[in-house]
This record gives sequence, C-alpha cells and structure tokens, in this order.
Amino acid sequence: MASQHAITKVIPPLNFACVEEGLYRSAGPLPLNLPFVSDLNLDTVIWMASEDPSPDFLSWIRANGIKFLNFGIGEITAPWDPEVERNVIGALQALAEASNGRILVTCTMGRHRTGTVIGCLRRLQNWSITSTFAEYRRFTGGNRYRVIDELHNIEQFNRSSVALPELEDRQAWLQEA
Amino acid sequence: MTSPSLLSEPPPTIMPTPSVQIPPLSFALVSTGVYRSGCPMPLNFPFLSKLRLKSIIYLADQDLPTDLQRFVTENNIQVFHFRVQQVRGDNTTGDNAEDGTLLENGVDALSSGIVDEEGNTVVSRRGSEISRRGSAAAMIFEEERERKEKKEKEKEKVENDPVSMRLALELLLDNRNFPVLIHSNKGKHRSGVLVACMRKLLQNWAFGSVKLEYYYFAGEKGKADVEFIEKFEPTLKYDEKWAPAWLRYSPEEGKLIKVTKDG
Repeated sequence: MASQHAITKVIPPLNFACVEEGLYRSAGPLPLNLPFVSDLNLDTVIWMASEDPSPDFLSWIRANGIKFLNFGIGEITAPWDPEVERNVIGALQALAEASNGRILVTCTMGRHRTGTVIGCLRRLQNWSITSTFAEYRRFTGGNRYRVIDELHNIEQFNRSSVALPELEDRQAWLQEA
Repeated sequence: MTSPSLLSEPPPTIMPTPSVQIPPLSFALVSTGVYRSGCPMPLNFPFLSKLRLKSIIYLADQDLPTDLQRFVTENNIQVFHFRVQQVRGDNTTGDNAEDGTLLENGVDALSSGIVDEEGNTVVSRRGSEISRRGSAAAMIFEEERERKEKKEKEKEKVENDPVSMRLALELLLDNRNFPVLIHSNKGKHRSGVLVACMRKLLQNWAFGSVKLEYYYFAGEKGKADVEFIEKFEPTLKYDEKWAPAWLRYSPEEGKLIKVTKDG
C-alpha cells in the first residue's frame, strides 16, 4: 500500500550535480530518487562500481529503455591499475559520444570513482588542476579525498589515451578538447 | 579559439593544445542556463567568455570590480546587482560565525583591493606605503582603528534580504535572462542561498537535499542562511511563456503566480 503521506518533494540521489548540459553525476539512485532521476530524461547510465546497482535501479533502467554501460571498478587502491585505467578511459570515451545523449555517471557513493571520471573529463576539457581538484573535493568532503585519485589518476592522466570521436560525433561540451 | 603565434613557426600538424581553462572559484552548473561562482577574476575571463552569458546576478554590497565591469560591457552582459550584505550574527553559540565574517571580510578587502578605480594594483600602493618607514607607525595605528570600527559594525546582525531574494528568483523564472551566472564574492553564502531557494521553491527539491548542496559550497558555516532558506516562502510572479524547462513545483504549495510579461 502506498504511503499515507503523498511525496510532494523530489529527492535527488546523494552527491547529485549537473556537470555539463545533459551530463550528471551522483551516487547510485535509490527507489526514492527515481522520480527525480526520471525527470532528467536520461539516455545512458554509466556505472562505475564493481558492485551491482540495486535491482530497483536496474529494472527502472530496463523499463525506461535506458542504455546501461558498465565500467565497474572496485575501490581504487593502486595508481593507474590497468583495470582502472581501462575502465576510466572506456567511460570517458562513452561520455564523449554525442550519440549517448543525456548521461548519468554514477557509482555507489558518487564520490571517488565517479569523481575520478569527472576529474579526468575536466582534464580533457583543459581545466586547471586546482579547479579540477576543487570540484573533486566538493563531493568527497574535505578530508575524504584520496591522494591516489588526485595525484595519480587525475593529475597524471594522459589526455591522449582517450580516443575522442570526430568533432561532429562529440558532445557539445567537448568540442574544444 | 586559436591566437596567432608570436613566432613565425610553421603551423603544427597536430591540433594545438588549447590554453588552460580556469573557472572562477566555486564554479558550477546549477541547471540548464544557470551557473554559479565566486567573483570572476581576469584569469577566469577566457573561460567565462565561452559560457556566452546573457546576464549576471551579482549579490554583494560593493560595486562590480573594474575589470569585471569592463568584461561585462565588452561582452554585452546585463548585470542585475542586488546590494546584499554578508549575513552576520549567525545565531549559533559557537564562534564560527565571527570567524566566518572575519574571513569573508578579509577576502572582501583583498578582492576589492586588487584593482583600484584607476585599475592600478593596490598591492603596489601598499608596498610604497611600507617603504615610507616614518609614517608606518601612524599607518598601523590608523589601520587598527579602522579594523576596530569594522568589528563594531560587524556585531550588528545582518540577515538575508527577502526582497532581493524574491526579485532574484523572479529573474531565474525568465529564461530570456539565460545563460545567467549567479555570483557573490566567494560564491559560497549569498550565491548559495539563492541557489538553495531556487532548488526548494522552483525545483521542488526536498529540504535535506537543498541543505546538502548548500554545504558542499559553504563548508560548515551558514546556519543562519539555512534557517532563512527553510522559512522563506515568497510569492513569485512568472510568465509561463518564458519559464525555464527545469521549473517544477507542487501546486498544493503553489506560491507561483502566472502573469503575462511583455516582450
């Protein structure tokens, strides 16, 4: 039975933010976040955690015909671990494709793994390292940032490792990368 | 954007590396057509010009810095300036509030002091004052007196200004102003309150989520701001024709009034 209290408010997933027009980041959505997430009109979900998303989220994705791309990685413990590298680069290439439309990048908490992908995206966009780290830390919290993410995976990120699609097939916010 | 090379080298065969982009402090996209940040400095202008802003909502009691004024004139950006003060007298028992104002004012002085009316840097002016050793003691005395006066003034409570907030929200309800940049000095408190009110009143976010977002930018300070955000229930006028696509509100709590604006 539905709750007696009609939910009139929308609840974004934890650590939700707009990254660019049509690109969002957040923690893995819970059932109570789905009305909000539906409103984003997503075409693609990029999943960065090795843990599986909640069954509710998965069935919602299927029911809405949303493309689900799994680049799941475990907690990052080693700098540029080959598996991490492969998946982060894979995620960036998927992000860049205009054909993937409106995208949500998400992992369990939306902090470190999602933060690493977005951090590398900012490097692709040629953001200064200071601004990139400021954004990364906004979501990890002041003392939960990880040097391994910042120094190795974001700062040392090699831009040329990402094979960007041709300009006309690329998202608007990567036109100058 | 490529600038002509100073050296007459043959053009490189690979794409030239674009220059480093430096967004203003606390920069973020809020929702389609709405950005927020701290006060943009000249080093942020290349980044800023790519946003192709149509307007700026400026929340500060001081004037727009000279170089930013020049930037907005050159780029034909409309500035909506709300002369609101930094909220003071956080009604928490801790001394956080006072620390906050001191810090904020310290930065105020710095950022308004970087460039004076003539566009000269004040840093050099200070330098020359210090070199005149004879007057140094008098100067320190004077500075100390000014600081004490300032501190006295700070003890007066300053609360968020509901009228400015209402008018600013109405600007956000008109997509003819987009893309718009909301900015205050550091992009934490005053910008944070406006964005929070937008999330709560215009996008129907749950209050917990609104508060979380406010604290991402504000850090731990700003309890008075959060109380203001919770209590603030203005009646807002908007024209459906120009309403932003992200507008969501629950009719039963509806305080939005449809009007017809000309244009």
